[in-house]
Amino acid sequence: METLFEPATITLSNSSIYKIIIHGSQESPVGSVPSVSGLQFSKTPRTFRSASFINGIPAVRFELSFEVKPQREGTFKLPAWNLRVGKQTCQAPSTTLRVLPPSQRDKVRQAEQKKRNQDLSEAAYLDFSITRPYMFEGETMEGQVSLNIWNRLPVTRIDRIPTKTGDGFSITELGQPVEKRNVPKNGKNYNSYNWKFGITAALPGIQSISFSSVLRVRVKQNRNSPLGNPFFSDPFFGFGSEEGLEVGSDPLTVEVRSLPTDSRPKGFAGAIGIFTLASAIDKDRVSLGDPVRLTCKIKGKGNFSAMPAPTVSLGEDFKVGPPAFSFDGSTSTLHQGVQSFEYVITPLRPGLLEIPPIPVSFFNPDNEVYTSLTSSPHPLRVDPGEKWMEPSSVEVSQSDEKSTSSANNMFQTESEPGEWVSSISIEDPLSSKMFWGAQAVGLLLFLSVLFFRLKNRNPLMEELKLKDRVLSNKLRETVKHKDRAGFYKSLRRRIRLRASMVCPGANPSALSNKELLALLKARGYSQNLLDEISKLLQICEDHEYAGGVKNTDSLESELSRSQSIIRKLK
Amino acid sequence: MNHRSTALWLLLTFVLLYSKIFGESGDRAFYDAVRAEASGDLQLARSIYEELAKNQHSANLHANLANLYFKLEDYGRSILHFRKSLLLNPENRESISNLSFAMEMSGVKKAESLKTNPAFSATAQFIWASCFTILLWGGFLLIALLVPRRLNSTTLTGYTLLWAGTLSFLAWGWQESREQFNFLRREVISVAIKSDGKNAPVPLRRFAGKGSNYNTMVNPGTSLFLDLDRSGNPRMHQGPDGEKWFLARSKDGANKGWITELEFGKIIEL
Repeated sequence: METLFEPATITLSNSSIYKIIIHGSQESPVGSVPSVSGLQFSKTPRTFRSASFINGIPAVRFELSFEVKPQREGTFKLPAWNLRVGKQTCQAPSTTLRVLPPSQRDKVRQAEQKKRNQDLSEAAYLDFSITRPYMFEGETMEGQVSLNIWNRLPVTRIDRIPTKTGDGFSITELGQPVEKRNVPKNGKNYNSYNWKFGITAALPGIQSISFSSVLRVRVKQNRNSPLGNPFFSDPFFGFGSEEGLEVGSDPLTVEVRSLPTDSRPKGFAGAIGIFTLASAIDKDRVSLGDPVRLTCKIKGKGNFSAMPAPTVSLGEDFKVGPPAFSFDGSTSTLHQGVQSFEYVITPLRPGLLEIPPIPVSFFNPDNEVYTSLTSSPHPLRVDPGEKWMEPSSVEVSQSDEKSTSSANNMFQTESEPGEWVSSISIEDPLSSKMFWGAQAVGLLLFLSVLFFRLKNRNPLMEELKLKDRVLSNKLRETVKHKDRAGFYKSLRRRIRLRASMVCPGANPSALSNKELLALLKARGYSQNLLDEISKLLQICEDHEYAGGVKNTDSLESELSRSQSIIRKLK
Repeated sequence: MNHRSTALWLLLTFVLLYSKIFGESGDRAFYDAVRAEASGDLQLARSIYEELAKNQHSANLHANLANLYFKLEDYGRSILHFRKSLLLNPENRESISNLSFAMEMSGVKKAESLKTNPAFSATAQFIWASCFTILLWGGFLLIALLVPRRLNSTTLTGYTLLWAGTLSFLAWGWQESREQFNFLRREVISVAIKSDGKNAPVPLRRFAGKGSNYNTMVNPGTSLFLDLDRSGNPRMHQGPDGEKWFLARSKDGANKGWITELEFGKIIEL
């Protein structure tokens, strides 16, 4: 085993290689290089394995190379140290590195390097700012971080958005940035990406905070570019590769002050900012047991994310459920907007109740004083409803004064008398003369009609009407069975029956058609009707006696036509 | 113009003038009471309203009187007049809610009579009876007129069944409404005697005498129902001092006892 620095003498601005050469093995050794004050060894060594024949004899060897950067001038001796190769422990011999002062050329190179670093730091950088150089413990204020990228820097993407470094603060999640293009700064044009967020001071004292981000930049693969830094080498046609570029902001030191304890209100629960308070209920009249939503809204700027719900103590008249939170405002910073706390409260007794004011205290960081606010009270009328608890005498006496004072709002006087009546009574129909009078009238009418009908009763006429009804039914049945002969036979009989009904005393069945028509004419019937009846009778007789007379009309139409004629015989 | 026409015109003029004067005096007294109440003289307002309510009634008069009694913390009488007001104007939501609140303040449970369907309320009895009468005699008349005519037996049976069914429904509705009417004419509202305190409980005594102990006490504003005798009049006993006692009980009959006529107020006039 042998060790050496290559080269063994360097200037301060250069680096050397520390080599460990192991002959006769290609196994990776196990051990650690001893640290030497003033020298910085690279953490990951380069390895090299080789095999060869020397004078016909096979030989293998293994090389480990560490880059060594001097931090000061002088002669540095690396002592002998042990390392393990396979199962064998070997000793690496000591070696010496001499570091000379930087030459003129080194100084020029260092100046160039410094300038390149300066250029690099201006090529992409982070700006972080808050509105005040001090904060109070628990206070939330709006912060802004801007990532400025020189527009000639070939950035392909932002690999990691800015992340915070500093345990003394917590910040809200960074969302989508606001992008501005071609912003002139430092004589260059930049693309600027701005994130706004809420920053909350968590620990008191002098706290430091900074941000860092990683960009993905396309670079040329040739690291020996004459342009020096690979980030400024313009890649052509995608022949470069991507590398990560870490960008950081300058650390910002912020004084985080503790909240004053003097004159701190009892109800203070950590709200810091400038707020206004309002409350509302969704209905002012409910039945017992029905829920009422009480919404308490705190509006302004401050630490909404750390703000607890106001304590609502409504006494024994109400049951209060846990509040529901909702925030309406800048969701990225949670610093400005309206925080709503919705309580579901259930009245436990009927009556005119009052939801008492809700107190909220907060610390105003601008003038550094505590402020207490109260919402307005809400009257609530609770009706007993279908199921209600009988109020105990104690409750009544307790709420007596309050209810009486509120009752004036409830029992309002009518200013107009309205419609007058002489008495409040409901007449019993059974003892009302009008009722019995109506029954008497009804009965009288009924009896009158009955009497009239009985008196005018004509047995012969009723018999004829009955026969007429029978014949009418028979006609319908013949139509139903398509019995044409039966239809005309019944029709002839019905016409003669109707004639006997309209000419009482005559016997139309014994008369010829001509005699019948003359009889009807004598009764004053029109010639048209008589002609129609004559036709009907002729058709009937043709069918009955001549037989086989063809008639294409349907029986249904014949029935309706004959009925319309017969109806006129009355 | 003959003597007959002259007498008729004079009578008509008298009736119109009487109704005008009568109505205006009622309105005037009502406005006086409203002014007295507005000026804070509740006792004067109460006495005007009470005097007015002896001869004539209106829903607003009784509502105002009930409000006044409530402000005077006489919850029993407040409930009584709310009930009267609601009898005259059942749709008045304000009176309904105020009555509920007065009952709550008096510690009285809601009476069953307030929960009835308006279609079967006591006041609807006349409508049921009228409909029943019209259909009954109208049906008979139709039968008398139409039966000997052309109606066949099927049609006649159908119409008769429909008529009988409708008549049965109307009779049932009438009966339901009549039941409410019977309850209402027996219903009274207990009120505290002023000497005992505005809201002192009303005793239901075992015997009709002030020396008698009581079965139970009811809060002012409680609905009680008077027992009726065989002739249908309230069962009454007149004491040697001329005081009238009535036997009253709660609707379920669980609480009963004698009360004087000063310890209750009737909702309707019998």
